[in-house]
Amino acid sequence: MSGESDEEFRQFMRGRWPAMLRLAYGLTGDRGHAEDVAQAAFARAYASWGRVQRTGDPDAYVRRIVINENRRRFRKQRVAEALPGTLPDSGTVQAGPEDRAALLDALRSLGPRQRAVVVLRYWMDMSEAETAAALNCSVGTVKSQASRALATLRGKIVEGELR
Amino acid sequence: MSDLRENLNEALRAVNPGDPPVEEAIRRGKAIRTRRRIGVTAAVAAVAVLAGAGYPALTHRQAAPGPVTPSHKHVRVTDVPPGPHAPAGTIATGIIDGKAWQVTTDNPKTNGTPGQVCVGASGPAFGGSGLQPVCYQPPPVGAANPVGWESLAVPGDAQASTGQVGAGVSYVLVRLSDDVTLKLIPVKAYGTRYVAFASPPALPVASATAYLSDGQYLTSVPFNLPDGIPVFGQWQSPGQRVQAQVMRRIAAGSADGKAWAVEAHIGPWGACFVDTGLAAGQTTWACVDDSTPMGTQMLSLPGDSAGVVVGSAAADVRYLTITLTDGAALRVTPVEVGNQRYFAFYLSKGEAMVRRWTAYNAAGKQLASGKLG
Repeated sequence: MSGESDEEFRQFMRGRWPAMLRLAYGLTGDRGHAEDVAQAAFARAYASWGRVQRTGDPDAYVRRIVINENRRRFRKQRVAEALPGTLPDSGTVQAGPEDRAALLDALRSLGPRQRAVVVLRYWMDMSEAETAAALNCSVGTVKSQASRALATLRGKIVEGELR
Repeated sequence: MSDLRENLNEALRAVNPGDPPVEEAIRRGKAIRTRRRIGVTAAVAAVAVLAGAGYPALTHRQAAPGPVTPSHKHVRVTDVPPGPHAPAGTIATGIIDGKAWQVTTDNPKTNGTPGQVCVGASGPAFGGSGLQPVCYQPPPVGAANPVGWESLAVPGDAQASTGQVGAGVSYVLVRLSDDVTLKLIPVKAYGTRYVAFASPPALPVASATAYLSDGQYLTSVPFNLPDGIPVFGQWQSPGQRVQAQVMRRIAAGSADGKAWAVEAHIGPWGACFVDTGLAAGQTTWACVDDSTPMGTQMLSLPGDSAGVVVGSAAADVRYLTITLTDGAALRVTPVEVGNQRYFAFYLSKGEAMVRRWTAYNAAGKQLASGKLG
């Protein structure tokens, strides 16, 4: 890779590091893991930087690697979960401004896949289909995981666990 | 009721990102590119401070050879050349257990790196999101090396192997461990002939045979990494004597709070070294051509700041001393595996690197030395 290309990568990473780290944090729930995932994603982007630039949207490229990196990491942890029947799909949860920082704690309490669904679906604003594709699962799984995750988050707020 | 998205947005914005580790990412990126290459030679990685314990507690364990261990009997795999309406750059398509895959290459004139080729794989067989494109300097192809293979994989999902094909190759037969045979017809993409195939980790690759237009053929038996990636090395003619398969652990210990162990796998592919102490889904490895005596040198496993360094030793070398840049020193003993002798040690996170090595015979006489870095 040329020096000019290296410098372009440096500028890109400096500019996009905060967003990718926050995405990784939301997905992993752990600062150390988030830094590992984000850094690994940028490293992989660097390894194919010419190709990444030609996509015209390196941000989307690295974001996808962050999601994939996280998926690879939690693949080993996941356990089989039965799908419930009819599930609501609500993107709201009761939390006042004073609870927002503590919302991260509630997010951390979710399982890896539920946490990823919440972050991709409700923070990244991905559709159910996009979320399913990103997590390599069915739309039904996204719906069920989202419903369970939201129920858990609501429960914690109602029970005052956020405070 | 407040919107979850707003709450998440504000909560995550409160996360202080700190300084971006740009140089570390670049270094790791370079290591990724290096790891993808077959045939690591005597290059030495920038490695770091030696942690006190755990090096190199050599153990000797002779194990049954054979990187190919069929473990799945009901996986259906196909491989077909792209149809007339396939997108430009498509090398091959196929199915693994009902899940489709495609392997494609970019136009080398527009991929931005002269001399490199970029290969990617996509489809449900690769977990939906596909494999990130890999750009690499293709190995030369010719009479002795009819296919220049490159492999990439998502740990736990399928692997994809693709290769530039010499002009004289009519087709390539790839045999998987359950006796499934894939016939690969070379496809011309952007002026270069390629073949490609994909296979699941449960079906390691047993061999690839390139059939030439003059009726001759050459066979390559790969080493299969723990995550299912085949590493192709040497090609053999019919009747040519091949290296017997031997596996031996050449060093093991613990450092940075984790166990490490290096196994040397000798066979028709050459000599491959794998750090078996890493977590599932991670593999650090290097393969070298061992067809000629390697003498005493470092054969590094390039990677992150911490990791295993592997070296070879001449026949009369009994031990080596390794001096690090911080002045620390360690002593390693080579182990005979196949026709060569190898050693390994672990360097953990920090700033020190290997500075120099010195080899001694059984009488303590200095035989050779070298500087690194």
